[in-house]
Amino acid sequence: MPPGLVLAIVCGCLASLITFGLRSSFGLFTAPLSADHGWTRDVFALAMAIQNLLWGVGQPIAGALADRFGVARVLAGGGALYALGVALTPYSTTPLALHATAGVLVGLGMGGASTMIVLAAFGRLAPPEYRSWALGIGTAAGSLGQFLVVPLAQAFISAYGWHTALLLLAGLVGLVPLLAPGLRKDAPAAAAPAAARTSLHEALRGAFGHASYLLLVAGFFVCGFQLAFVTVHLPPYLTDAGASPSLAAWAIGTVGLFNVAGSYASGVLGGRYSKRLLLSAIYFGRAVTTALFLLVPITPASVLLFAATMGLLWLSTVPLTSGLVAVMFGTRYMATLFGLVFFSHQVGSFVGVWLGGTLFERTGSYEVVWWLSVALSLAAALVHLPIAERPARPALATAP
Amino acid sequence: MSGRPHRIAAALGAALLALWLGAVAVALRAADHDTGTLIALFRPGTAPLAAASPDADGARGAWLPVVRVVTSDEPHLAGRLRRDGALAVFRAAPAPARRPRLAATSASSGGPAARSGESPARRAP
Repeated sequence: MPPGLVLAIVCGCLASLITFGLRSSFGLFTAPLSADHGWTRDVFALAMAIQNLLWGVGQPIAGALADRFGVARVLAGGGALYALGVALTPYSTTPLALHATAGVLVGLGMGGASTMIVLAAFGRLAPPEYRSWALGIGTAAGSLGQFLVVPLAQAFISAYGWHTALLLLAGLVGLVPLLAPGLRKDAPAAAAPAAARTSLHEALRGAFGHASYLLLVAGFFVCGFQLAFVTVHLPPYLTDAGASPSLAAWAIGTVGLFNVAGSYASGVLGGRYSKRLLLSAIYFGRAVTTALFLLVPITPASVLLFAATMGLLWLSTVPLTSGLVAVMFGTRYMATLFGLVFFSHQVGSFVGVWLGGTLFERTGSYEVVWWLSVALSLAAALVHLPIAERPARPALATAP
Repeated sequence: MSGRPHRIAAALGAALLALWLGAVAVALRAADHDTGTLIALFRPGTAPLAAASPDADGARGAWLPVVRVVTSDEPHLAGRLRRDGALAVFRAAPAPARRPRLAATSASSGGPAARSGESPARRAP
């Protein structure tokens, strides 16, 4: 293992854990923040919508900056913005101020200080034989953050109130700029031999003219659709069916825990076996798991088994998808190109949540969207099969 | 790939879990005047004695025999548990509300369970 990689892995994983974990905690503040200000919940909801939109749009832009100036600088800047936004949220006493802090500042900060940016650095720093493992552990760290930071935030709210809890969490995100120098060896320009350097414009044109990249973008849309739909709509689906709210909470927690193992394992497997076949198997597994879940009665055992299986298949797509971007186009513009794939994921997330709510209101049931999710999974499983798992063309795929 | 990367992953995971446990323990540490539902950690063998405390409304065991969950309105319950030998006393953090707003709205607008159209087989027992 090359010198400096372990430090980069530790610092990057910590940053990924903090930023991804805190992102999952904002929902805990909806009720207390709204109640204290006397606002209806749509004020906070709009701030979160702005945050997610700016995160999705900002991801490829932050990626382009990371590909130009290195991940460390973008991660430090993004982390500082993120921390500032969280720290100013308790002092936002008008809806507009809340939208500017929790919405705009945090959203932009998330783009710069995201797991995707960290993964780009891992992709460049790790030699090919360790790359998939590094992408796996980076994703697993983000998943672990989701599992650990949410209860920590809840403990902070319980112990000190939401106002102080946000300040403490801002301090936690404030560690990200301090961790960023651990990734300073990431040098995008060095990832391409002089003879084969391409501009960002050429890389983008090459990527969008490459069928395998477009298939990857389409497949990741399905991933976002399913994850967001299950996260938001599984709890009400279970409670509507008569399950206890605690079972719904356990189900989401189980998904988070198994997700850590699934992400890491997929990174390790991606280093040994075909990434496109593994991705196809993951989407096929999701289709089978979801279909079986819909066909058997809802019991604690069936719910937890579904949650554990979905957890294993949850973010396990990330190391393989980002790994395929590296295989096709090298690592020089990895942050930008994977950022664009991730944007497709976020569009899928939006559609999954929105369609789930809309069709529920129209039909009184989630069944249609569940089965649509099964169909999309099967489509994604097929979409990944024709992907060419090799460099797109020598001029673009310049990294070893 | 040798076993070293996996050892690094395991060490990193263990260190993070230890840090997290410490942070949660500090955040949830009960002050002496705290009351309500508290989680007390005892030395092995002393927990049953504390559970028999006459003022506690309820004391039940947890997964670990040295952990007791005590519920009482007794003032200064946490301090009393410490005097009874508890090594540490924590407040029980409320479970986060995970039910999204969308579902709450739906529930209040006519009862989704009634409108779900699901067969009885899909209902939880």
